[in-house]
Amino acid sequence: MNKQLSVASDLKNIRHAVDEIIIMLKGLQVDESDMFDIRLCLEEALINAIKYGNRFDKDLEVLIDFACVNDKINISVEDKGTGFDHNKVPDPTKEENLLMGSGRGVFLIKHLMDEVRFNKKGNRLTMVKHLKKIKEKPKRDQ
Amino acid sequence: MKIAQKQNNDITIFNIDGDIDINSSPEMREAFEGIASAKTMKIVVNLSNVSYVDSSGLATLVEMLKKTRSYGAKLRLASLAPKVKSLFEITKLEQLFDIFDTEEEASANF
Repeated sequence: MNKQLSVASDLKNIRHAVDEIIIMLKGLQVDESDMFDIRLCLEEALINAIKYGNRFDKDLEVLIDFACVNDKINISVEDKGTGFDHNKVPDPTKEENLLMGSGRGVFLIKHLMDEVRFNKKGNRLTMVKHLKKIKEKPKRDQ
Repeated sequence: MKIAQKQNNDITIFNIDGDIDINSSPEMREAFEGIASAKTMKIVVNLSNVSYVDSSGLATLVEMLKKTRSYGAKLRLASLAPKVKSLFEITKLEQLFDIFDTEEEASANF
């Protein structure tokens, strides 16, 4: 199963895009815990893409690629920005950063998804979730 | 999001109902302003009807905590759903907040 979406860079558009993905996940009967993780990580990725990548320019789109292959969900989020170095994001769990107002999005993505990759430029994030269980469709009687 | 407030003697219970995310957290911040400007000293934020929080929701809760600390008040969180609580653990925010299983426990021994 594959789906591609494009989202104009307005935070209000995030909900609709995520809802489309959630509908597909429900169709696959994804575990509630995995659903929560995927929803959160997708939203965090979209917020960053809109806010920092495309700088709220509504003429610039964020592209989402969703694929379910075997028991893995692959989601890529790409903005039109110049990219960023995810290794330079401060660790929000350090004592001196706990009271930070923001900066936990990338950290949550790295901890809730099983695989996280950025392209070289830093404007495309790919996240993979290994699902706990996908309920198989009942086999037809022969 | 629905926000309600009630008094339990000298403790203000701040009830949140719904997701706390990028779109709804400004509303929560604004509603909390009233509590903070009244210099309320004992606050319990009841999250029993919150099943989803994103990083902006966490940030807003941190801001609320900082605000209450600035005037010497205490803020406690109560009734976190397991996945929501796990976010506090992953981000080590459980080291910052006093988190209780129920509103009753949070309201006791302030």
